[in-house]
Amino acid sequence: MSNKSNKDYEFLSAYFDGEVSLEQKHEIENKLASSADLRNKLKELKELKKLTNLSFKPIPESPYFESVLNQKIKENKKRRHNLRIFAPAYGFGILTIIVILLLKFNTNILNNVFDNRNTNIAGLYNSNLKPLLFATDLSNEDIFNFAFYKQLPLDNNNKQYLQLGTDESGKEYFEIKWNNFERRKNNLEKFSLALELNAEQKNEVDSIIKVYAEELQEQILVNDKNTLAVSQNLFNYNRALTADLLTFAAKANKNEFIKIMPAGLTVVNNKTTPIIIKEIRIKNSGSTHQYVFFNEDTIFTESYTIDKEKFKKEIKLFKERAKKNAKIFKSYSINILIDSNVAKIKTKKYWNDSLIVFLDSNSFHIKVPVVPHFNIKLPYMDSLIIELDKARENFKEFSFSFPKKFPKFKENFNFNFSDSIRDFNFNIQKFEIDSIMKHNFILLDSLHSKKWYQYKFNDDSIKIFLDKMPKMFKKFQWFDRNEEIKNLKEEMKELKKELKEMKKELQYSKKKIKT
Amino acid sequence: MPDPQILKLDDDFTLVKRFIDGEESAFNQLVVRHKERVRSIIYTTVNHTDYIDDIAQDVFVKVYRNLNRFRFESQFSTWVYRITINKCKDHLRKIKVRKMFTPLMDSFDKADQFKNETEESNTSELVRNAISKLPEKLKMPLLLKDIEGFSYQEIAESVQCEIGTVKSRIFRAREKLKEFLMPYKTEIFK
Repeated sequence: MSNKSNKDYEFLSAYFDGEVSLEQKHEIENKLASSADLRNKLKELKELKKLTNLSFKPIPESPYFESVLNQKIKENKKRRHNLRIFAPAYGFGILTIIVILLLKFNTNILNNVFDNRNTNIAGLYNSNLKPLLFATDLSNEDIFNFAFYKQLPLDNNNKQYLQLGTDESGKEYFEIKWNNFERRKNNLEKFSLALELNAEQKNEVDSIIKVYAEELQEQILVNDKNTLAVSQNLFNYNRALTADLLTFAAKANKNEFIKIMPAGLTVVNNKTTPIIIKEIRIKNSGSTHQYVFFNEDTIFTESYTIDKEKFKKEIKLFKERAKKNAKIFKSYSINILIDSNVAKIKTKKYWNDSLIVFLDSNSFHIKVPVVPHFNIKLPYMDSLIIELDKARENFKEFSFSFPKKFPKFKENFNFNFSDSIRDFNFNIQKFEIDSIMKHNFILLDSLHSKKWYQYKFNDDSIKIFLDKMPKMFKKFQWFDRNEEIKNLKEEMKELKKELKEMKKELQYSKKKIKT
Repeated sequence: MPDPQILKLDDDFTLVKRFIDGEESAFNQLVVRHKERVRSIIYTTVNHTDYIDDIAQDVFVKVYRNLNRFRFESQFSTWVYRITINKCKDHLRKIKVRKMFTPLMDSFDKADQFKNETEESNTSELVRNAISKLPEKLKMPLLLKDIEGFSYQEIAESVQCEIGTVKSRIFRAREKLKEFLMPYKTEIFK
């Protein structure tokens, strides 16, 4: 069937249905008169329509149609009514599901809510914060004692003080104690006398203390709402101050310094200690610090930004007014007490944000799990491992001999294998990490007095070294640490034995020459 | 004596307005006026007497629920027939889906039964079966025209398409139907 005839047939179909215009009707009828094909087609259409009409007989009536329909409408109404009644319940259910899904896939929402809540709470307490000076005036003696005794008075009446410490697991904590605090006297003077400092050197000590005294003003804040805010950087400042004073002492009078602090010399390194101090101070020189806020109502941690310029002006004015006894600035009396009944109930500990707070009737004891750490350049672990591996591979092939002077344990740990093809030089940096400050002097002192080969190379240094590695570094599985340490231990034991035997032989041969 | 009510062409609109104003009985009158046409459309479209009343009642339930939202932009009858055609389409779709999940043996049996029936049945059944085999979009306009006597305009409004499309679909439906009935030409035109 061509397109043309197809169109004609379509027109014919419409004509048959009476759905053409008068003009089209005439046109079709003219064509019908001349075309037998079209006439046949029209005949077909008529027959087909007749057939279609006949094939569908009238359908029987439905006598109960209306009554059934009314019943259905009633049921439908009832169902819709029920739906409407339970709509709030459905709505609540759907809302719950949405909230659950939302929280599942976007946990930040909840965190933000809590953050906002915390910020709101913080706003109640952290307004109008002033430097510690407004509660107590710290003398040079107080700052000096802070370096070595890690205590700071919090009021002028010596009722409360802050104590920094390190627990048995190495975690830092601080305590606010409210039994009477005895301010130690004359320690600074004793220090100057023992080191036989001249006037110029005394001034130098004073200037060191002065610098830290100013910086400490930003680390402990007070306000008129009985709030005390302690920066978590305080630990770092304590380390830096101690290291600074020790470095100065070692430089000023080495011989006397050893007498009053035998271990002090061991922890002070003229090259690395100033770098550490500098790093600590640069790291903490910003205006925003993480503070632990204390109030009678609550304890919480919050980041707080101080206005350094405003602080400086206030300190300056406060001092000027204090000299003239003019009281423009109000001195704050900080009195952080805990209800003894609460202390009895919560005798052990509870968690507040990231803090672990221990309570007793005498003090707050706060463990600060996240003390901001600073980066100190450690010896590159991989290079050290490569060195050790190389050495271990070749241990069996080499015969050892030692120079006449045994290497002293200072900063480097030297081996020279002079009669081998290659020489190996173990250059193991002594660990100058912040652990210097943490570890008590006695341990280091005993270490210093012992002979170098008795120093537990594996147990102490490597373990400390690995424990102090930055967190990121720890994530990488460079090697099976425990396995490596174990192997190294065994090898070093063997090495020790061999060294002892060699030493004996050397002594024996010396005696022989004398005879 | 109350004035006799004069029924006009736009009586459907009056009844709808009365229903909207709260007169429930007006709906019953609308049902009486249109139920037979609705049932007839369902019968010709679905080609099964068993489902006529169920579908027709569903149509009127829907009309009842939505009558308050009737916008008086088209004839009430056209609106009802559009709902009817959509309900029929839904029903046919359901049957199609149900067939897909019918066990194979059952469908074979039915096919055989259908075959026997068509072979033995009279011309009317032959023609009805041939029409039921037409694609949906061709079948509806053809039936609305040839059985229900709708104008092209009414068909276009009911199935929601252009008049030109209706014309073309009816022509194609007739061609297709002729093609389906060709094998039975001798039986039909004896």
